[in-house]
Amino acid sequence: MDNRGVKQLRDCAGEDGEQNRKEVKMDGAGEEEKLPDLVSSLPITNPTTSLPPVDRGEVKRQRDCASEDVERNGTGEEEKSPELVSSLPTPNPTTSPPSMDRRGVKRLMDGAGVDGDRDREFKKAKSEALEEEESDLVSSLPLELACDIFSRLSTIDGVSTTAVCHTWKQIWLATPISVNDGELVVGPGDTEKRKMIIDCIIKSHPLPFGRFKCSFLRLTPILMANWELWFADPRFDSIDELVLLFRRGVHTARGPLPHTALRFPIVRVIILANCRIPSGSEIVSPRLSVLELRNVVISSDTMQGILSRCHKLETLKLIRNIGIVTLSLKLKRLCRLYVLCHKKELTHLTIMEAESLEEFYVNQFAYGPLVVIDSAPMLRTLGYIGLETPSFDIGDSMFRQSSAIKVTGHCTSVTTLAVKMFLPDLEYIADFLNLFPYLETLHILFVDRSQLTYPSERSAGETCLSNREGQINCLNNTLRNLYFWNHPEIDHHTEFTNYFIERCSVLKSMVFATKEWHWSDWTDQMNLKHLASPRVQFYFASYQHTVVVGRLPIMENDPFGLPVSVYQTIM
Amino acid sequence: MASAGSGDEKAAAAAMITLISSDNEKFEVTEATATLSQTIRHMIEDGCTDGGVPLPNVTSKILARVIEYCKKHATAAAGEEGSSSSFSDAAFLEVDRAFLEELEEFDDAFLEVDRATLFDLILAANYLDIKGLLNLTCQKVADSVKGKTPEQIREMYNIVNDLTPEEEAEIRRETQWAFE
Repeated sequence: MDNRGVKQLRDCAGEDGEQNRKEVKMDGAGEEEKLPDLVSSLPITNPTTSLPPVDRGEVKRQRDCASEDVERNGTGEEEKSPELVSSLPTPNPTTSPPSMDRRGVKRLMDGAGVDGDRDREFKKAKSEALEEEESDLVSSLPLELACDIFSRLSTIDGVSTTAVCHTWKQIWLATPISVNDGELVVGPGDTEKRKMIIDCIIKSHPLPFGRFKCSFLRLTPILMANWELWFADPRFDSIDELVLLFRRGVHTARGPLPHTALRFPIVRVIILANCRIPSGSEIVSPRLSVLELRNVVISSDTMQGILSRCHKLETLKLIRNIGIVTLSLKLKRLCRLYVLCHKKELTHLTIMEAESLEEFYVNQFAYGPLVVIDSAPMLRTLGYIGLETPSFDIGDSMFRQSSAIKVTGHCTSVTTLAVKMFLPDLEYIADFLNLFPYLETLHILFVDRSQLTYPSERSAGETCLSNREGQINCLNNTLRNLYFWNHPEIDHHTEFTNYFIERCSVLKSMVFATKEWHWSDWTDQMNLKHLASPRVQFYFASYQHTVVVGRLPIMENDPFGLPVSVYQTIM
Repeated sequence: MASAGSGDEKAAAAAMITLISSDNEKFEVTEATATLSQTIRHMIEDGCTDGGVPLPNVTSKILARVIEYCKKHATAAAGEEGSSSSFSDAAFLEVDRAFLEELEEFDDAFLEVDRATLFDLILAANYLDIKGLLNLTCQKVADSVKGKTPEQIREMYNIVNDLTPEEEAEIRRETQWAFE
């Protein structure tokens, strides 16, 4: 475009101005009624874009229309011509096209197209082209693109751009930023400095903040005034994400969360850790869709009160909190529910009208709450059930461990299930499998019995209802992925794995994952001669709690995949 | 790559789109490649791509690079779609990983351009609405600024310091923590 455009302009205004004038005069005399059309059809963005290559008069006409004065008399033309010539970019196609190009797009982006600016723009382009081969490329970008780039900088890098030049300073001040104490390079214990820097950022940046994340500061009485001041700042009014992971010493009490922290009217994500939520607290935002509490002290009533107003909540994570004993959820939008609790912390969990619930994760430990779900038609991922989470009522399907099992229905929506048990037990697992006819992925986690040290009023295990030789739909038709986590290293338990090997006819992968395991002897005992599924792949993996090396793609969107550090395919 | 599609070629591949650069050069690409650009995708949906898509904001030099990027990433997108359900296939895993690495290498090599080209690519990616390319190029510019002092930035980008010494001193005082 540029080469052509520039050339045209040069042609039209340059060597044969006389012809131009003639053409324009002719047009102006004959077709005055067309004038408004011309104005409206003017490409307000880039005058060089859509011009046909030969019509020089068109260029001239448009430029005339662009100027505020649309008067079309001979003297007007003559007055304007010299200015036009002087305002044209230098006729040097090798340097001017890039800068012209950017200018053109810039105006396109801004959508400004203020006609009066046009000549000035050309003058600028000219002087830029003359002065230096490569001008400040960042400043020449449309503001929104420059801000996009600046928004990728850390606060420190961003702030140092303000000392580069005026334009860069303006770009930074127009860039929406977040407050995040994690990217401030200070010593871990340097609370004073961190506090001072956050103060500086909040005071110096004019725009509203989108996110406030703190993970290094404590919630101590000394800092309380600062927290209250920051939360009250109007630039946080439209905050979208609030992440407050307070630091806490092992023996220090959790400080009370300032009530101003929950005042934000349109916050969508709240993640809190290591604090105490005073009773009667409320989250005012009706938009809240993600709520996560970790190591937070909060009473059942307060939690219940907060949740009663969160009508748009989609994700709820309650991780090792203190004080919630019973909880009854009635959240129609809830998609993901994660519960991890200490022994006897959460004993009863009732989930009602969970129309949207797709994923429910509860304790992988031996202990866990009693769970009742009245209906969850969308539930796809469920676990861990079994052991001390012995009672699972889902709609008209029931699973009761201690007394007798009553299977009155099936959970047809569940495709991923995680079951926990102490030792391989076929009757036990068969009961579960009968409940879930369309299971595709099954995780079986073997829990160390020593985790269950207190005398339990609920018995763990002990069921014998299903006929294990009978047909279990998911084994024959749908089960594709089978995971054994921490499978005990006892010889006679190969009966358990062989049961699946011989029956699962569409199985594609069988994964054994443990912390440390010599699997070579053990594989000899697997009944590979009677493989029900010829396509099955075996994986043997070991994992450590923090190290993940390599990946199994099934882990994506599957909360039950523990970190796998090594796996090998043997077949 | 840059050839005006003749008639019989068009008949052979119905899903070909012709892109026309600002300097009137024609590029014929598959629809899968072209639709990485949301701008072009919308034009295809609106059925206004007959006779080619004029891109008056993109020069042939830049358009050729953009198409190179889109071709590579269109293959990647097709690969992901086709294989999302079969995860346990060990062979696939290997291919998947190798391909991702290759794609990363491609992106790195792709960004080895002079700065003016990089900025033209940003503008083209923005105009054509190609998220991946915009992200890639903007990140490259942001990375070039990271950890640099104002002086280094000025030198790198040919910027004339138009702040008065007083202004600069004041900015430095206010933001002293960032310069330590």
